[in-house]
Amino acid sequence: MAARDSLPLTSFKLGYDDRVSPFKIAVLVFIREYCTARLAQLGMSPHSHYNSIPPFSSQQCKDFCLLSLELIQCYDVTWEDFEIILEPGHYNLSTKIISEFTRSLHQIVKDGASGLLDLGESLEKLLMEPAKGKPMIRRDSVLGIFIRKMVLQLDRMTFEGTVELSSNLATYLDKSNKSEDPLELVQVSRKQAELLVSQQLTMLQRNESLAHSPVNLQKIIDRILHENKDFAEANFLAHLNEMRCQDFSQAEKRLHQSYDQGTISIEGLIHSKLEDNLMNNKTFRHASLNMAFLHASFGHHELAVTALCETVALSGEAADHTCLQESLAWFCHLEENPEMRLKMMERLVTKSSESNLHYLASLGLAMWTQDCALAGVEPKRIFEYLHTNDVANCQHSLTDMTITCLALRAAIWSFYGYPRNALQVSQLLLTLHTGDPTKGNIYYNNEHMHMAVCNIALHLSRQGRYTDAESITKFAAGQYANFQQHSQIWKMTDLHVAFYRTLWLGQWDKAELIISQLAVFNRSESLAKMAHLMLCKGDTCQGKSVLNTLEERLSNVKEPSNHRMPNPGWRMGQKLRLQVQSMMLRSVLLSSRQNFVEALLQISQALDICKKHHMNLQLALVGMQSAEIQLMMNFTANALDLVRKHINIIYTHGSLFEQGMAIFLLARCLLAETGTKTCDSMEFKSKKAEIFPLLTRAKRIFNQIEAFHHVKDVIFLEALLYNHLGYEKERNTRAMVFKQLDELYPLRTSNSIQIFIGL
Amino acid sequence: MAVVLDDFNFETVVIAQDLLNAGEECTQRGLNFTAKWLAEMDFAVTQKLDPDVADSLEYQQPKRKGRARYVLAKKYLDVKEYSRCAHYTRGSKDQVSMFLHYYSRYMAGEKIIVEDESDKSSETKIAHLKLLHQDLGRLRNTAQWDGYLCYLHGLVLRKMDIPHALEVLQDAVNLTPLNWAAWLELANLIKNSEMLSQLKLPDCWMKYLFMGHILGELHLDEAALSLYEKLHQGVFEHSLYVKSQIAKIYYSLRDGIQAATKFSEIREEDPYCLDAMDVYSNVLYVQINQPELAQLAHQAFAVDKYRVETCCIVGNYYGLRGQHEKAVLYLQRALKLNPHYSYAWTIMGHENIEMKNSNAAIACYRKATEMNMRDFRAWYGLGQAYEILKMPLYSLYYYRMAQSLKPDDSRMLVALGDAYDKLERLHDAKKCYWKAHCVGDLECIALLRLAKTYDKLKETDHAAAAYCDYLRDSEKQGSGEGDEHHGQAYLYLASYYLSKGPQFLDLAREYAQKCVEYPTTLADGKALLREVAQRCQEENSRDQNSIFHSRQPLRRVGGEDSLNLVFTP
Repeated sequence: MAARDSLPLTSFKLGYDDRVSPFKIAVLVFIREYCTARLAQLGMSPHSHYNSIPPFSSQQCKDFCLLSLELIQCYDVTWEDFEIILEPGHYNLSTKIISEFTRSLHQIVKDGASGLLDLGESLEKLLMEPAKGKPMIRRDSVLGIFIRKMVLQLDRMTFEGTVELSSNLATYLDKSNKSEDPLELVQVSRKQAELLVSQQLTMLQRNESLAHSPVNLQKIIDRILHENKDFAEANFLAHLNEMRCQDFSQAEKRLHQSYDQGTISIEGLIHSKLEDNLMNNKTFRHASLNMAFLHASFGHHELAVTALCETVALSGEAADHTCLQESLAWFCHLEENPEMRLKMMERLVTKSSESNLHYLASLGLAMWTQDCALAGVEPKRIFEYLHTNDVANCQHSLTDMTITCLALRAAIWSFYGYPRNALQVSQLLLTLHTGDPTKGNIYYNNEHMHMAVCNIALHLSRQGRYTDAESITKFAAGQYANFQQHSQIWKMTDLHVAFYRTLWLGQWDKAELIISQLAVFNRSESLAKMAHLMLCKGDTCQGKSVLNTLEERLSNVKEPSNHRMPNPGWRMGQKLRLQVQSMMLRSVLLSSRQNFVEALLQISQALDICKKHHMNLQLALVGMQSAEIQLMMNFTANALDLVRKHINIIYTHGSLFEQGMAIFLLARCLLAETGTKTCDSMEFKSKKAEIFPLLTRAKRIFNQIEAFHHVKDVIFLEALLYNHLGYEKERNTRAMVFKQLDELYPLRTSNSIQIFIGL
Repeated sequence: MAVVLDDFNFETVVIAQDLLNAGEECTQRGLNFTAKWLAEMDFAVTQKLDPDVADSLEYQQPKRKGRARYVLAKKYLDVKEYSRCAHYTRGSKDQVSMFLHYYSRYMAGEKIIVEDESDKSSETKIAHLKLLHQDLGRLRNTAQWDGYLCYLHGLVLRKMDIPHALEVLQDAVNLTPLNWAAWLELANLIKNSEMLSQLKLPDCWMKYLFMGHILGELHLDEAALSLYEKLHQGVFEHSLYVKSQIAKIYYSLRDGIQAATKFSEIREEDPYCLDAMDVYSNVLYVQINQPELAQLAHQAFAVDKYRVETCCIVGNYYGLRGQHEKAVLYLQRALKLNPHYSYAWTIMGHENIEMKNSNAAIACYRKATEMNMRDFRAWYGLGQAYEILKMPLYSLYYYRMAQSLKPDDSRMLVALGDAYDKLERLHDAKKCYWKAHCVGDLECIALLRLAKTYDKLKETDHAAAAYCDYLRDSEKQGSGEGDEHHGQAYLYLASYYLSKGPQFLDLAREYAQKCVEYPTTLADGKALLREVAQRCQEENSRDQNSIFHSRQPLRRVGGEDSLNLVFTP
């Protein structure tokens, strides 16, 4: 958002652009050669070189047009690169033309200044000489305008300028004089530099992976700045680049530099009168806004707010509504108090739509939707908001916001516990046609896309398709290698999956290592996982202290954030999820110490949170945990009821692990029930036999997701059951399998209560 | 950074001989400005010698092959036909001729750049520098390599912004310590005192002059001043260069009177000297010495009206007269003559601030900082400009830069404190004001601001103590007796003591009476006096009652027993 419309403006002076560089001369000669050949083919000019060659095919003509268009627009390339472009394979061009082109270029160098002057004359002829009544090149075509501009420049040149150009052309064509850096030899004119900078800015905004890597971009900017010292946009680009590298002091320096220069032209200061330098306070308002952005993205909350206040004061004075609303959007983003947030967002949405600031209105509505969802507003209302927002985005063609809203929709679905729907939306997001053909057709590939990719990886892991998931994560890692500020998303997904996998294998040490890696990105998350691990290990003492720390952290309103400031909505969502998890873990801890009353109290609190926020899947999982505890307490009927109540939602939306756990629990509940009810041995036996398919299913699922730790549990139960029923052979096979598994995945300590938290 | 001068035991004769030799060598190589500087120094040092001894010194001309070719080339160089000079010295094996060859090539390239600059083409051309870099790099480690060629190589590298330049220039001064130009180029590359301490410098008397120069540049004024003073008392007593450096440092230390005296001494001795006179004009501007400045401007104009110093002086003069448009006109002329003259950019920024054109001021100051990173005035100016635009967060950044360049300057600290104050970061503001007071605050603003900050923080005891100190200090300096700030200070103290309790009523009255002396606080003072009188009456009646009930001693009045105001922030 910061980069939108808020660039510092360099007062751009005519006269800098369209300087005739050696490269441009080469392009002109190239065009001339083609046209002469074409004229010869049409029989308009009896040129000796070209009379023999066959007429160009339509493909050759088309390729010439495309190439010349590109040559006019691109920034100067070295002579070696030019030759590579002309090599067969890239474009379909006649070899005769290419050889003639090189020959006449060298001829011009040989002739010196007169060669250049002749070139100018011959070009002018092309514009005037009739070919079948029409000139070869129309004066108002792209090529025509280019040629006219160049001829004008050549005309305007003083004699020493022409001499200099000719000597430059000689150096340009001289291959012996090679420099280490190929970029060094070519000149970048002001206009080309501007094009380069604006292209890179767009790419940084939309698709960072297409932009140059931070190091290369810095090199390019340095070069541009070396030639154009007071080029504010380049400094601004450098500022954004430094932000990518998370270098605060350099980013701050560059920001100051760009806005200092962006005020007025230096040339104007020396050469012109003062009246030319009109006050341009808009720049300063944006300077202030960008300062807020800088501080916000480095987590300097208070400074960001101060900068915003400054912006508001400045724009209030100037009655600049756009800037005011933009600052309000930032205020909303930075505000911690949910009620205040909602109030401000409401204002933002109404005010922005009144003043036709569609982007901001849409952004405000998205923020509003997110906050409402987290505050527990009814889902139907939430989807209504989302729909309204989608319609508005479509109407005003806000591609950026469409993506954001889809990402938000996916997030809301997974928050409500419908990961399948979230997956669907993520896929929709990834297949969305986001390129704008009028703006270079750059596809969006930003943080939201990255999230969607990670969502898919996570979904695949939940289905036990680890290799597929890994390849997707690898893709994300490659794709977003330069996104230093967003790279934590895929890293966290990777660690998240790896943690549960090692946990299910019972590799406690490895899991602990993963937790310490995760702590770098997200402390709270790592604490919750640590508590989980400790309870799995059966280390209740340590588990308790970790849980205490986690709860303390969660109850803190102002959570000490890590380096970067994440979206507050995201933080609130995480907080809710972790709160529920910590309560579940706490209840497990309490029930392992036989304190069932308190454990159930925790469970009911967790249920409350889930119900209030419509977190359905989470609700089912908490219900399962409750059943598990009640089963321990021998409230079998209750437990069975609970399991039956919640198992459907787990079947439909839960991951394989959750399904496996639920089935296993169901089996155990059924087993316990038969144990309490009847004494009739036949009926007892038939009842027990019903349980075996369930256990087999659970076993299959656990095997599929490589949760061998849990497979062992199931096999153990099977063995016991067979023993009970007197099937000795089956019992022995199970015992053997158990032994084999135990050798492969040994466990030192363990906890008897199952925990319903997993991928 | 203290430079010990005790080991400065070079004999005057040796220095004179060195200067003579170096001067000749530079002249032969066409380094005219260095030769001029060396000659000036030589002239100054020779005055300390016995005339007979001085006359006996002479330069031993080494034997040279190809004399005629050299003389021809040198003459071409003298008349600025650089390419011709380069042509005739091509392939020469003699050190001096080789230097002439490369130097003339360098000058030819620079000449073209300067000429093109008037055509307003912005692209810097460094093709000739690259070629020179390649050729000079090849010459390294050959027998012909000497300090002058090394200096030229360093110069080329510096122009190309290659960090390796520092090393090469360091080699250059070690090879030929008497080439002052190499020292100056080296000084341009040193950004802070750490870099300075890591340099390996030759043990030559020239080192001390360099140290003085660089210490001054790095704003380590005290050290530079003591060094120059010692040099001035010793061999370089008659050197105008050392004198002008001392004057510059006095100006930097904000001792305008001393600086002005030194400068006027220089002018008496050498009325046609324009070097460093732009600084003198600044001194006079700060002192608001219009007649002297007018005279200076007049004379400078008579000497050479197309020198940047002259334009700067005239700009300053118009600025002092309040004719800012004209001032800008002359500064523009100075910048047309030399666009890399950072001083003029800074002054132009000041003039734009005066004309309330913050945008232009910002651009000027920024340009000045680009020319000279160590120009704290420009950084300070940027801060001011943003302050005018009501962007304290931005100005804070610039004040911080200025302050880091000049850590012991109370003006920077007070400005920094003000910025913090505007951002409501009162504790930081407090620290700044306190430090400003500690480093010696000439205008006594720091204490006043400190007191106000304490007041805002509700630390009344500290505030009162700060006000007390402020009144004491400003009375000591005798500045602004009728100042309204005094009135405010008295007012605050009066109400402070009034709220403190009955035993301080006398103090409160005393301060309230002082309030009445100032027009701005007259009404408040009177009101306070009435309240004090009322309180006194109440107290008296209560005392009389209590005397009968308890035999407590009467309250003591006096300064000693008043609150012990330990003043620590």
